[in-house]
Amino acid sequence: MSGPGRFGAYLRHWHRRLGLFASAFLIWLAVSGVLLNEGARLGLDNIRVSLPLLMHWYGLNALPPADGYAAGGHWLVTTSDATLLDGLPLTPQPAPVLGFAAINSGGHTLLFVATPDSLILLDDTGQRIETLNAATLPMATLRRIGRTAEGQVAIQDLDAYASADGETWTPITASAVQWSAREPLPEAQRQRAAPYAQPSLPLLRVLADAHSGRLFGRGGPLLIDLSALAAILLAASGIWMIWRAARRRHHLPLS
Amino acid sequence: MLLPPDEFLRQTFGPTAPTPQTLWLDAATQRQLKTIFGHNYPQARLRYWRVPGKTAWILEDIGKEFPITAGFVVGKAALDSANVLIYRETRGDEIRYPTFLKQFAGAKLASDRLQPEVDGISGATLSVMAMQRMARAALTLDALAPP
Repeated sequence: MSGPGRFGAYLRHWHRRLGLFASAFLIWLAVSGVLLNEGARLGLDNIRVSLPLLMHWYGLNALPPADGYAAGGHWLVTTSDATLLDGLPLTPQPAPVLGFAAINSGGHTLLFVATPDSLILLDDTGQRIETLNAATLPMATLRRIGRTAEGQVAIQDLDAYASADGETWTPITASAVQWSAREPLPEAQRQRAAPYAQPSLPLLRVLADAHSGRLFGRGGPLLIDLSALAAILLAASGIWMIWRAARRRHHLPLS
Repeated sequence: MLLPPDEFLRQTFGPTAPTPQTLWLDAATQRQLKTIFGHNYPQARLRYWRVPGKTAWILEDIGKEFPITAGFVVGKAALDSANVLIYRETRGDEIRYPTFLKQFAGAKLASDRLQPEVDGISGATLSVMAMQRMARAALTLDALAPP
């Protein structure tokens, strides 16, 4: 076999080997690339994964909150996944929570959760009675919430107001209010919050890390780089072989 | 916040808004709302504002992940106007533009659908659907609210 013929056979041999090595990686890169590009259209951008092994691989551990808001014998706790009243998630989830207050109104316990733009009124089982906002409150935004010595709920942005039922509000002096603040969470409440404090990651983040190889440790990106190099060599050797075959068909002398 | 709820009331009723009235969402009302939202409206009662020939409603519904707060003014069994008050989603806020919102003016309920239909917006489909659901709810609630 002539020199160029030997080179051609050698090239085909390595072209096949390179192709075999790179094929699995190229298919994975193509599939993960399409999923990343079309993630929003496929609804993947809403999905979070919390597989324990994967979270352990990322070094993420469950971290139950250390504090919460206490009022009227109830605890309001915010975790990474939910806002919990006595360990049960509120639906829909209010966020972010500024404070929590409880009053007795007509023999019923009313719970108030303050957010920056609304005051959520709950019964003592966590059922939402009403969401109060600037249309039904004496202020457009809230800064803090508390309870007066007379047992009324108080809210404040610039001026402070109090109400005995969440419907009618009267101006008060802010200094006469015990404002809601975070308190250390009892161990029992921490344990109830733990299932809602599991770490999770966006699926697209995991896909992106798998696409780049970072998911597989330090060697991952190197492996992906080698696959990319293999793809370049495959393309170059493929073009070379096509060019040689074309020249042979046209009876041109090989260089 | 695109339009503060109190500003929405000022634009609707002038400097002095009427006293809000309360509509308790009893089981029968929740059943009607469930056909619109696919679930019970997550509150036990709603405030609304009424002057002769007109009611105003502030409702919330989730677009994709977060609630959209919108205000609706209902005239004689038809919508007078729709406004996006608070938009919390990261994408799809094209629903706040007047070119989209003016489609709601004059819309009525016909066989549980808005008539005339409201055109969608590419890239804001879920927000558009949330606005359509809330508009239908506002018309339903207006019919249920005591005169």
